Amino acid sequence: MDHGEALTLATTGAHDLATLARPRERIDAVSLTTSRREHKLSTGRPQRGPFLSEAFTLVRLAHRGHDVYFGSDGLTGTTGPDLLNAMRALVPHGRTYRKAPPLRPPSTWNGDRFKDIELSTTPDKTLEWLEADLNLRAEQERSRSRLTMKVAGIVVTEQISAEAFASSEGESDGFARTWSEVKVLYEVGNGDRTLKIWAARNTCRIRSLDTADFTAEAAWRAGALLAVESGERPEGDVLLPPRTSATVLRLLTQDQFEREPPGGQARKLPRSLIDDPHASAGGHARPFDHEGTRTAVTVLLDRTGTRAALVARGNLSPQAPHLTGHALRSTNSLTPTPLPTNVRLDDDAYTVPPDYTGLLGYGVRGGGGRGRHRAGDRLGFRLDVARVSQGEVVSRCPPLAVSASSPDLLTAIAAVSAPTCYFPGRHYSTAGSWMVLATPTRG
Amino acid sequence: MSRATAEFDAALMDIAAHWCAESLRLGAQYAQVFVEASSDLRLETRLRDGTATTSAASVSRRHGVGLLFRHGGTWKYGFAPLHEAQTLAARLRALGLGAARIPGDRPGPQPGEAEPVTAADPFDEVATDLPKGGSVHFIQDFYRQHRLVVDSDGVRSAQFVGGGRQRASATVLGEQRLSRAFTRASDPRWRMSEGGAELAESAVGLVRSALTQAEALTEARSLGARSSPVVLGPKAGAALLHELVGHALEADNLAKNPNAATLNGSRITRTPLNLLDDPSIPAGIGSRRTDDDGRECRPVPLVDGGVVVGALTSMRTAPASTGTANGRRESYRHACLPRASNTSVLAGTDSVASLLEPSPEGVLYISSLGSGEFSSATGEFSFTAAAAHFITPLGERIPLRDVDLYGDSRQTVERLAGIADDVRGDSATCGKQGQSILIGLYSPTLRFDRLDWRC
Repeated sequence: MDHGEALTLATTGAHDLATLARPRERIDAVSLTTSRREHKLSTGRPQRGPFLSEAFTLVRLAHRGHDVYFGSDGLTGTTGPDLLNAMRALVPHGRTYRKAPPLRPPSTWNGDRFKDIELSTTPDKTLEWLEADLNLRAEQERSRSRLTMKVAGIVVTEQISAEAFASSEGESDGFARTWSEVKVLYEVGNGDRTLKIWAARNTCRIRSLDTADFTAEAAWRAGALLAVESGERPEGDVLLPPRTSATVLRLLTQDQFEREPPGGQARKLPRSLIDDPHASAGGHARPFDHEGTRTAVTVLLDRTGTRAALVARGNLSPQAPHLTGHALRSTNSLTPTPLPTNVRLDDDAYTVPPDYTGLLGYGVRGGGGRGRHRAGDRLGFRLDVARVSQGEVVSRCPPLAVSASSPDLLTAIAAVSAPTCYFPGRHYSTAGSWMVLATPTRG
Repeated sequence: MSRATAEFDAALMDIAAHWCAESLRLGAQYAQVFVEASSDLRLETRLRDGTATTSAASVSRRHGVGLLFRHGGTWKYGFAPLHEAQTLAARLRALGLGAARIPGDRPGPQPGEAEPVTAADPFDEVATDLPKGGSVHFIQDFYRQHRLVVDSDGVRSAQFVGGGRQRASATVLGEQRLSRAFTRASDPRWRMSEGGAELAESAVGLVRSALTQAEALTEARSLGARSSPVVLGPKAGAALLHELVGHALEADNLAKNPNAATLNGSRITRTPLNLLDDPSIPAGIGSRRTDDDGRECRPVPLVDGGVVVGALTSMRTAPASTGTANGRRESYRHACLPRASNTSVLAGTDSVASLLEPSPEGVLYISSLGSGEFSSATGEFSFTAAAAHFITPLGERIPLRDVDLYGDSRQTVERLAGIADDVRGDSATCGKQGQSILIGLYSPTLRFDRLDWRC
């Protein structure tokens, strides 16, 4: 399966459905195909499995001012007619909707930026480079962290996906992309103990993976897990590696954009929150949303504390009359609802000093999945914390409790590096950066 | 069962039997085929600014085949949509089973998928009563799931899982502070095409209750980190024990526990706790006749008088002669895991009043437990209570929200101090290894001696 074949399949699936509209009906169809194969490297030549493919179809049927959505596994070439019959019975009970124009003119999408042609066509060469580079980085890490570090295995899951939109009124759009997961098994030792840990990151292109940063993060975490517990009550600023900072960013985004808007006055913030559907490193990059509206970079929360209105057909209002390209189906709702795609903070080009001394927050506990179902406006989680001296993890501390509102938490972020990667979630990806969290957020 | 349903099930059974036979023909030592034809309807309503509007209507269709087989001594799993038999054949080939033949005709439309909806619109009066700045998101789900299992050991099982679930999420803005409350109800007898009055009554009740609870929480306070007796109201206790005890007694989790061999027969609390998995509870959202391995379900005692006496197993984790029928799966895309149906704490002998007696440290009362995390590796847990209040030593009640309850699971269960007799039931979504299923939760009021919490 290559990108062209995947896109052709998706496009055909969407168009076949869109042509089934009866007079005065409107059909919007989105077809998604995904093909995955696994490459494994341990010793010798890479081994790989075949591509395994899946598909999903999302259909909107609109008639006489009401619309309904229908989601079905697979492409619906043969099942389209009976699927639409079921939808026609439901459509009088659907929501009422209005037509609305997009907020912005169509943006351009450079599709080549999102494909890993090298991995598709010469996978052995690409993976041999990856293995050699990761081994080199692990060797280099020894001098900084004083840990022995060896790559014991690599698994790359290559995913080629394509998505097509077609409507019964003739609109059509489509894109294909690569999004791979790189998992590395490291053997790490500190002289007294050794352990094996998996580290994982996603990337659009294997050659774009920041292997130095990836290895450094794995070494910090391994150092913390190998260190002895000190019982020290942690105090002071905490350095968060990319995976931890991405989790914190996810909690902030959930709070601001997956629930009813928080109340209270807007307040000034030291940095803004940005949605970038065109970030090639982001797992949720896309040129159009599930209503067919073109996407663009959006400042979700600016430095005055003003939230952007993310608008889909379902939340149009006199104050927000334009579609913003954020209408996406999710595990919570087949009907597209406003969601961001790839979220990052505007950074201040922070870099971690090689001789960093201070606290390291190498994990988050208790924050996952709670964003939508909290009764109040405070975020609560605990950070796994270790003490670092001159770049070396010297001890592990008890977890640090953090309790703050999302504006307080944003204000407490003292420094942020440029994103080194994005971590995919179910609904959107969040950037992984090196982040310094200042003390006021402690609970 | 209607004739259309019987014919539809028969067609699905033929497909299951075909894939089972093909697997054996191609050399599988064992094969289990799960065929699912589900079409779940969701209706959403938003109440805001004095009006109630339908905000979404959607149908999620999952028609597919999942095939578990043992080949060359290894378990493998392949799946594909029902109408993409070629895709399943390709997957089986990729999994090393050879070239499978494609079944003949595919089944016709799923009965009831296109049936009319009872369009009761019960919210006009509630909408006009909304507090200023208040809003409600109301969701109704209706399930129509045909689930069939055929295996090479002779299992033939067909089951229809129906019913409905209603959820309300209310948001109220107090003085600069938001509060939210969540209510829900479910009933396996609910159908979208009938019982409009009952559905409407339940819907209005849930919405009003959520609004009332959210308004009460606008006065909530923060108390910092505390350690005190904790009382979990009816339903909430089952959620906690499901996580701390129920999951630990699932066969796959037991297999990872180095202390598993000594767990059965061990006393986990001095209080006479009776905990069971009960798939026979009338109207339980996890109630069913057979599990997703096609085995006949029956209640499974897990803890008897505070002593561990049982475990939850599935086909792959225990033979039918000694195991339980607790194989459950989210959809045809997944193989079964040992899972709960309805986690049930039987009534105790304590009175609710005695469990609410004040203590010098006060008492935390939790009426609704939200989501949380439990690490089977370390035994640590952390849960959020969406709705709670603190009872001071003088008996004053202080509303709290988003209480973080945390600690060690074994110590927590040891501190169970009392069980009342006011059992009530609830439904919840339970996640495990990427699969979400609905389970029932039944328990009376429970009191724990001392737990750590923060608010």
